Amino acid sequence: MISGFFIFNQKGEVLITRLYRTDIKRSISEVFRIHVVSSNDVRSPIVTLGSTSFLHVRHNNIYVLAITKNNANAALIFEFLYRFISISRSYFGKLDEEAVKNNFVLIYELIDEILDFGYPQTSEIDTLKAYITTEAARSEVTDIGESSKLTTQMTGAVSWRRGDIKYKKNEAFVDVVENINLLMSAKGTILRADVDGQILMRAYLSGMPECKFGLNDKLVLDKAERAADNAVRLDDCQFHQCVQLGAFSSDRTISFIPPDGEFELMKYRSTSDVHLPLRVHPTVTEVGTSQVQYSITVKTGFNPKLSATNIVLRIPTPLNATIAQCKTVSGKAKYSPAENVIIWKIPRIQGGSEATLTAAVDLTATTTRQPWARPPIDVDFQVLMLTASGLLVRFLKVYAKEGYHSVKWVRYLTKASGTYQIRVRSFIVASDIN
Amino acid sequence: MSAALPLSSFSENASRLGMRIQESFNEALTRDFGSSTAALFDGAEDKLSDIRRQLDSSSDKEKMDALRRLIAMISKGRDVSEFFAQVVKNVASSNMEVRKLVYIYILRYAESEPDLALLSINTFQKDLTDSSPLIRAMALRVLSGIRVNMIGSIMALAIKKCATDVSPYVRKTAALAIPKCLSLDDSLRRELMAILTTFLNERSPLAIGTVLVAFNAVCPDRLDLLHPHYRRLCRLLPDADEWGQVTLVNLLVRYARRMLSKPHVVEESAGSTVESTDPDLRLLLTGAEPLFMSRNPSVIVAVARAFYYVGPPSERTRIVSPLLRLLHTSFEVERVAVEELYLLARDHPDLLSSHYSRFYLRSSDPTSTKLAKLRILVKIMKSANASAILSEFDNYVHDCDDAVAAAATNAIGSCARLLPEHTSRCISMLIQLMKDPQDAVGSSAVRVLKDLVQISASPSTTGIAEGIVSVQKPTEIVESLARQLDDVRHPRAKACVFWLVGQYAEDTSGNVGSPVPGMASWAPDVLRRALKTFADDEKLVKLQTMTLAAKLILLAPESDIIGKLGLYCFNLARYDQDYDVRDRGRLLFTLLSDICPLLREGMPTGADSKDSEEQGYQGQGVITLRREQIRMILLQGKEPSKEETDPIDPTMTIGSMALVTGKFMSEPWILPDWAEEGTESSLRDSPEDRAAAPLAAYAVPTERRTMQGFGNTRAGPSFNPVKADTLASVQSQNPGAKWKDIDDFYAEDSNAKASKTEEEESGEESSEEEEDEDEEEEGEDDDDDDDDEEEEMSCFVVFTPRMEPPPPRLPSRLQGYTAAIQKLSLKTGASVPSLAVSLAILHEVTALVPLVGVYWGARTFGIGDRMTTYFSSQNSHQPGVQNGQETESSESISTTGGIFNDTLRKWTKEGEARVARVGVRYGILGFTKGQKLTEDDLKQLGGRVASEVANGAFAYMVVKALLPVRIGASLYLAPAFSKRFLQPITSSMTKLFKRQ
Repeated sequence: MISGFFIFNQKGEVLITRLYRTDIKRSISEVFRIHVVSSNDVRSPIVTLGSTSFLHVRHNNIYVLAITKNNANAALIFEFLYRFISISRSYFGKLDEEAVKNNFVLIYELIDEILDFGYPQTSEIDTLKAYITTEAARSEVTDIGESSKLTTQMTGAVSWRRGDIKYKKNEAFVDVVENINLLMSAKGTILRADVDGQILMRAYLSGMPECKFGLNDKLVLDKAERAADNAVRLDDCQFHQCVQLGAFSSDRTISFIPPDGEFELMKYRSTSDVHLPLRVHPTVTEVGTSQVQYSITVKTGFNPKLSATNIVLRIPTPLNATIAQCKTVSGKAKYSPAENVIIWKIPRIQGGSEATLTAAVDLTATTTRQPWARPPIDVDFQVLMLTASGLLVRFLKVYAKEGYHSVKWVRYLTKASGTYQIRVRSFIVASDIN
Repeated sequence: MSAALPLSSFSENASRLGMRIQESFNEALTRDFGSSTAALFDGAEDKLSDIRRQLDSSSDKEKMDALRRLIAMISKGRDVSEFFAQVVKNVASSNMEVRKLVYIYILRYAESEPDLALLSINTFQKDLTDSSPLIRAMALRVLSGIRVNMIGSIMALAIKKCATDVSPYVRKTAALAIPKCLSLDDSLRRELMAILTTFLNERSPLAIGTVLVAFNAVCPDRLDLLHPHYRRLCRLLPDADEWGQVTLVNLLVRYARRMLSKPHVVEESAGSTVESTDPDLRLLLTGAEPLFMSRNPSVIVAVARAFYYVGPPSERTRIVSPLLRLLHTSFEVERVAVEELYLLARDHPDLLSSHYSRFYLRSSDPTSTKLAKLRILVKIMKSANASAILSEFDNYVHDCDDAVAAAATNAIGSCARLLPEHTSRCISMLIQLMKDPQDAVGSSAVRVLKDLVQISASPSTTGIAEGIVSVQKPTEIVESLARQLDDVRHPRAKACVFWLVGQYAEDTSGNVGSPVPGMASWAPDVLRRALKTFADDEKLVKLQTMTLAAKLILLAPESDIIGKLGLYCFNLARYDQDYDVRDRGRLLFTLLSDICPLLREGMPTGADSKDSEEQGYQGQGVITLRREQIRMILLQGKEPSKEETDPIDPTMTIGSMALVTGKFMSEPWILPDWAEEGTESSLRDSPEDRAAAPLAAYAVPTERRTMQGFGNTRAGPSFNPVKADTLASVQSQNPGAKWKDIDDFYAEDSNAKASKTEEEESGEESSEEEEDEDEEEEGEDDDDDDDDEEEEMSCFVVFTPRMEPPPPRLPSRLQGYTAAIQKLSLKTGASVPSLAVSLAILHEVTALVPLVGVYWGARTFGIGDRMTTYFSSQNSHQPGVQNGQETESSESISTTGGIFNDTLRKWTKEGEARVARVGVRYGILGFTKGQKLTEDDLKQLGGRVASEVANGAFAYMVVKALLPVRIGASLYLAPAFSKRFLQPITSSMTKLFKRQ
């Protein structure tokens, strides 16, 4: 399995080294530094040199690297690296060079606990936190009771929840977060549109309550023969381990005993009838070889009571662009020469309205005809209280002992970041000046 | 005076305690991981002597600081092995924090300092008997992590011991120690095999994953050992932890391929087919299916692997959507998933062809992912989705990455080959692309076209050729290529065009308009233009230009223009800087000079030695070929390049690294082939199956066992009430009874409890051992060399640390306390007997100290005096009462009082006399030896002795009254006492005796 675990900073300096097997040497970190950190264009997360595979994940300003020499499952190693990152984040708040330096002892303890002889072990954050704490006092008599609690938690049937949780007020917050993937052709046809949804839950519930969760799932509603025209077809649902998978596969009810605090209850995909909150109509005109003109309109297509916020459009410009003049009524637009894009930021657009940007980009004459790939326009935004798939939470029931009162909250969010792309086609017009 | 000593020692203790509290408080502050440790990391270059001093200091805080510095230096790559001796000293520290840091250090340097590392082994062995499973597990993990050859057998012993541990967490660690042990010392394989057979009976879902990891390490090929466990493993699958699931599924897949019969299609009546699947295989698939919903991508890949390689063909569709889902997890996982999907697309394109839009490239994908997606798109292209995919390709050829653009171009070419109905569109796209400013696109477009032309022209590939020919004749494509020669700049593309022109320049249609008969009209001009830039071209282009010239000469040997061009070409080549070009030129020249008169005439006759040599050959006419023969050499036998086929490597299976990296990876247990026939199903019958016990029945006992082992969580808070009850009941039982000595009573009580807990523990263990033995016996049937193993195991027993004999079962009414006691022992980390002993000692101490204290106090305050005065005043009244005439009732009272007082007085007198005698005999208590006793003396003494006795009685009473407080105090202090005093003493004693 994993022969070695390393953390590098951006400069390629080793921050953490832990070797699990003798088949690699400590100096192997140099190899990684030379081949990955210092070479500019390697973007592949897997690099194989000889029989050694280097699998790394870049997070903030560090590289988290696992090295293996055998025919291991690469997905497993990546999952482990991601698990490490999420565990570290829940311990230190964020994982970057600073955090690693501040907590290196804890990181050594952690990786020894979650990776034994290169085999990933228990990686439930809650369980780990009971065992590896940031307080020093734990090894003394004070909280030794934890250890027995922990063993039952590690070995028990409900490993994700302790039995003795108490809250004054029982509350449960449900967040439905949908991420839209869109790829639209220059002609305006949708090549691909789907929604990756997550249902996040923050449960502050006492005791061992059992929860039941109802969505406007098409399969359920059809079965119940309830006339529902807004039902949603969900493809591949994934659940947190607390959800009883057997019950879901038999009659698609989602019932579970929630872990304490925040967790991701389920993930789903929806590919049919995706409602696009924003439509972008770009017109790009290349005037001769010296100028490109843009006229871009953004239209919102949802209820006027709602509004889209934090809209950022990244409009690619040719590589030899020099100056860009942007004119817009709503928001601010700026040309960023480093990335060769015009960044147009709009803080808020009401539903049912539109915004327009016109820009003219001057090009320098170049001797080498560098190709311009015309990358797509990328749009980031978020809309509160809207789901692109049309998903709604119908109910959340908490079953516990009598007189158990609980308050439940639901919130919806649709967002796009880096995955909402509209391709551009440019019209070439002979220049008037030349 | 006598009381001063305990008091002062008490105050000393108090101040020490205060210091400790202060210390741990400070620790808590420094453990804040603020900027202080970052400073450690950045500026760890302090004086090494400072670290040495800190390591030797007695304060845990100092030690931890030093260790942190060391670990920071390790991280930075500095060699700090010189501190090994000092660090290893701290391995037995009572502070867990210090120990953990020491462990990190030891694991790093044990290999380089094997002798010193051995010093720490003892501590780990001791910890293996610790009551906390976490400490046991940690000790085993560190012990097995020390890579020192000498400790291999110690490790094996420790593993064997922990294999039967109550806690699944410890068993899990033990199982994982097996591969470590094996990698350290391969000669232990036999012993580890024996331990492994015990392990295979594992029922806890927590530990099963690592047990199978151990199996894979020790005996990956002994799949036959799994027979009796197979069904249980299948059922455990959904409950195992996610990493364990991966191991479990992969192993079960191997087992299924080797031991079960392959699912096959059975023809039923009326043409309908039914797949028959081995019921055991079905069990595996049912167990694995819910895991498709796991959030761990590696589990999904493992289950996909199971369905793909052992599932019946009809169920392959199930793996599609989970695998597609992985495309959205993260871009690293996507990179892996596309390779798995490629394998699927290559072997079963139909499964994916309707999901083509999922493989559209995103501009943010890394190059390798984009390339893999393109490969998938090509594989799953069908006439239904081809036009959508083709227009996507058209977009991708403008990608800024050359490799992607070229791959997209090639993809268009593959589309033209595979789908005849789209060929024309592809070709027109490619011809457009040829002019593309991006070199990579242009050149690959030309090369793709070359292949297409060749395919269409060659008679061997009829199907596709027809498709292409029906649209455009190959010569037309070549012609359009030739006309656009100026737009082609990439050397490879250019070379390609020249080759094509040469190959297809022959004009078969008999066109009269051509300047050179028998040749396409555009061909000579291509050669002319090629020669114009000959000097500046690349070697590749030069070679192809010569080939073109040679072919044209061959087609029209009599033509004046061609001849002159050819001669010019070969002259240029003759003086080229590159020897390859010169050689080729000479070869072609010689070849053609026979048929082309112009060449013969233009043959240079220089004084060059080489030329003369050539001429010599010519003159002799050694080799003269006819035109047809030359034609054969130059034009025939040019097979179109085959489409590159993927090397099919057996290691490239779903879920393997080889698939992702594309390189062969050695792995001892690749996916085995299906066995010819499955093994007998009865082999897999296990005792549990025969009892037809459902899954729930397994799970529940396991749970209970663990709960008992560590004390129920809910028993925790109830600890104190239970204690109080005991006390209350003790007191309520005893008031009427004669007061027993409380110390004796309590010592008995705690001893009884201690023995009770031991009994229960070992009782449990023994019952478990019995179970295990039973299973072993059952498992023996399939173990051929069992006897040998038995022998070796008995050898082990000799060396195993002493095993306590199973004490008798404890009475049921006492069982209630055991949980609480165990809980306490678990909490404190002290063993039950040592707790009991310390409780007894403390109880005595808490009795003695107040006794002396109260006595001293009573003396100071003269309580005894007052009491004696009181009694004596009663005494003085006594005669009066007796003398006076009283009522009957008062008389009766006074009589009793009188009897009491009489006795008392008598006792006092007697005592006084005795004391006086003793005092006189030994010269103490204010008497001088041999002094005559006078009445005065006696009287004086009488007051003193009586008051002393009264003081004593008073102190005793007070101490008794303080009983609950004392018990509370000793209970509270017992763990600390046992840790600080008893354990060091015991360990030093054992050491002492061992040495002797």
